[in-house]
Amino acid sequence: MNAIRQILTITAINLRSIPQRLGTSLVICVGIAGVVGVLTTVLAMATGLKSTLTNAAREDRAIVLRSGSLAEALSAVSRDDLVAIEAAPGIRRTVEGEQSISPEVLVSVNLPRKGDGSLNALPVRGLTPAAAEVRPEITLVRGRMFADGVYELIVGRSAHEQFANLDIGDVVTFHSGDWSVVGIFSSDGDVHESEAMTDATTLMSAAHRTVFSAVTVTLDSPAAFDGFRDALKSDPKLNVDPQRETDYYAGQSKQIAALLEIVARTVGGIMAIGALFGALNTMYSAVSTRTVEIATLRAIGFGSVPVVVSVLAEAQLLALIGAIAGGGIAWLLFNGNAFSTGGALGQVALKLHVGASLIGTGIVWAAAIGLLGGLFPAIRAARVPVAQALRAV
Amino acid sequence: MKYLPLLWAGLWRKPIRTVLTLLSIVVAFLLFGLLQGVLSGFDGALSKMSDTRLRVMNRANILEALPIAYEAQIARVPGVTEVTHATILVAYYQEPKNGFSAAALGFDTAADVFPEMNVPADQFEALRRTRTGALVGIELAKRFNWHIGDHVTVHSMNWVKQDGSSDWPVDIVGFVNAGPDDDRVFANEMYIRYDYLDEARATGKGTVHQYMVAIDDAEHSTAISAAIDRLFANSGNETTTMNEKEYVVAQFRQVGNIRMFVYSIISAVLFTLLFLAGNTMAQSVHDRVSEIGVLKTLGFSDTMVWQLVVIEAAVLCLLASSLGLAIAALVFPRVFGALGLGPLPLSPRVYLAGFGIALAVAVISASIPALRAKRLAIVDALTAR
Repeated sequence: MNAIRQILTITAINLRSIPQRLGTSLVICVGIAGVVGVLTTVLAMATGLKSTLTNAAREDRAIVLRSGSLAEALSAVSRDDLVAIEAAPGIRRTVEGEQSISPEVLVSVNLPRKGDGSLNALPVRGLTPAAAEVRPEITLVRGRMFADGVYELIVGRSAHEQFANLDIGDVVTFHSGDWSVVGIFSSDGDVHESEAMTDATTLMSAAHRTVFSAVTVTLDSPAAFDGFRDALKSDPKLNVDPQRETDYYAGQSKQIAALLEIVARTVGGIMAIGALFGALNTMYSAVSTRTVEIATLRAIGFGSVPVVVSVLAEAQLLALIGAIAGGGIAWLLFNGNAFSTGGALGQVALKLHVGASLIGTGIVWAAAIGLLGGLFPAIRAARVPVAQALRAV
Repeated sequence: MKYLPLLWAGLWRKPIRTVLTLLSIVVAFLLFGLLQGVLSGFDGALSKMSDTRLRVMNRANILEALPIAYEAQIARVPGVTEVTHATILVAYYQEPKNGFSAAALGFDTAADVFPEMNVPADQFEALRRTRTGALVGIELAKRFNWHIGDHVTVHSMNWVKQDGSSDWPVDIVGFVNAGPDDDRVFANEMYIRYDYLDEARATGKGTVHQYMVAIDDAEHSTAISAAIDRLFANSGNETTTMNEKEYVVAQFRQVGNIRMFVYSIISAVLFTLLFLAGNTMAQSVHDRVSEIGVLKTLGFSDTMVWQLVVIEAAVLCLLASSLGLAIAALVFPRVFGALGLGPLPLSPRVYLAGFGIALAVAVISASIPALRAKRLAIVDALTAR
């Protein structure tokens, strides 16, 4: 009990003296705010990417690509393949008895972005009427659906924000055709909002395609996937690779997300080392300006453990303030910010998401820096030779 | 110069504080060196790109095809000296995670358009004789431990053979960019023969992805690009032509605003650093108020005291930034190599910028404490304690 009271007393004295040492104390806060700010922002890009891609995935949906194709846009599934896939077990049927199976063709076209007008790839997805059954999350927010057999597009919300001339009524030219934008759609904030959609037959003939890119099916249940996959895999005429949508989209985000995480941890880690030196500096000077005070406390009977703990507590508090400041700045500046990345196959628009778990990660890092930065000065404080320190007055 | 010992003594008045400040600045400049190095590495690679070479692509998308018949038409455009073509294979070796880029080339003309591939004549001759021959970049060969004479099978994600397989067996007959002085621009690619690809593939026969065009004069690049695009306007496959520099910039731009991203991180690092260094200096002046009084009593002018404080900060920052940049120079080639762009030494411009920033940090961070030291009246200073 006594030890706890001592700790509280000394810590209170320390904290009350912070205003007199504001500049040096701020070093810890600013240093850690920098680390946490950078760390959370870059990690927020990675989580934004993952959530955009995994939002698109449903447990009870499967996507069938050609074997060895890592991306939908590089895959090819022929009409013969489609017939064989339709014969596989486990595909859900509607009340009317129609199979819930959507063969789709994906074609990337270069269009100018808003702003600088640089050309970026927009994925255009060709759909058959069955798509409405397989992808119920696609809903029009404005305008109307494209009609079959004519050059009409509906455009995802993100694509509409990113690209120039994709408003309802605009006409864009690609593959020797003038395509009219007739609607804007949403899709639960997932990756498909970065696409445009149109009628599959029209798109295939315009882009000289004879095969579909991939086939997406809704299964009777998530458990039906194994039977579905085994049936396709055991068909010697088929050379396709069925995957659960969740696995496919997790794989799509893996590379860039991993790269961003490496960048965040490397840059954040190096900055953390710098901030650690700053924290050590602050706490050493805090201890050194209070040498007499600490010696006095020790002389009147305070133990060395309370002294150590009080120094650590001060470092932790400053680190926590820094972490909250850094995370808060990242949240204020970047939460919900859109950015886009991609390549020749298409752009994905993402929103940075600075969530509680990321701020939690930042606080853990800050606590570690605070602990290390406070520990050595705390030990020095505890070892102050009482008589010598008091004589120095 | 005679004040150097005084400066040095001032710097080491509190050794722990100085060392810790030094180390945090070292860390900041290590990070600055690495990040800025990546940017100037890209810029350096870009400046080596040719502006007497054009790339002709399908206007719709880089992975859309163009008819092979365009080659002859492009060759007739005035100013065009040589035309070759490439068809991209999105490929991997053994497992999907071993991805790399490969292309089927019009191999008889490729060496004339891309002399910097630096393929030895006998190896090129071997490609001429071997239908399934492949030239591999030296870095790619190291990555998979490939040697001349090896028979390997690569998987193409975008080309299927008539027999339904996507596996393309090739025979390695030569290396690209194997010379010790080569800029290893093509060192991570594989090149196979176009006739091999075209005859075996199931779809897309008679098409290519890109034409690479050598022209007579960089001044004409805009005009020739326009002339080529005009040739195929309103055809079934319209083209976009740009010189190689513009082409690479366009590719990078699709990944995102990398420059903006890196600069944001650098500014966060430098701001933190400035705060830290400024604080150390302020504290050091604060601790030394009575000493400064003594200096002034001895006849040091106000300006001289100001200079001493600023120079002390400059010495600290320059020492720390040299150390930080030296470490960055040591590790940078490996970091840049890990990005798949080949090892590259840290650009001299990075050192210059680094020292410039170090000086600026010193002056800005020391100016307020130095001003305080300058304005200090002797009487107040001596009675401060």
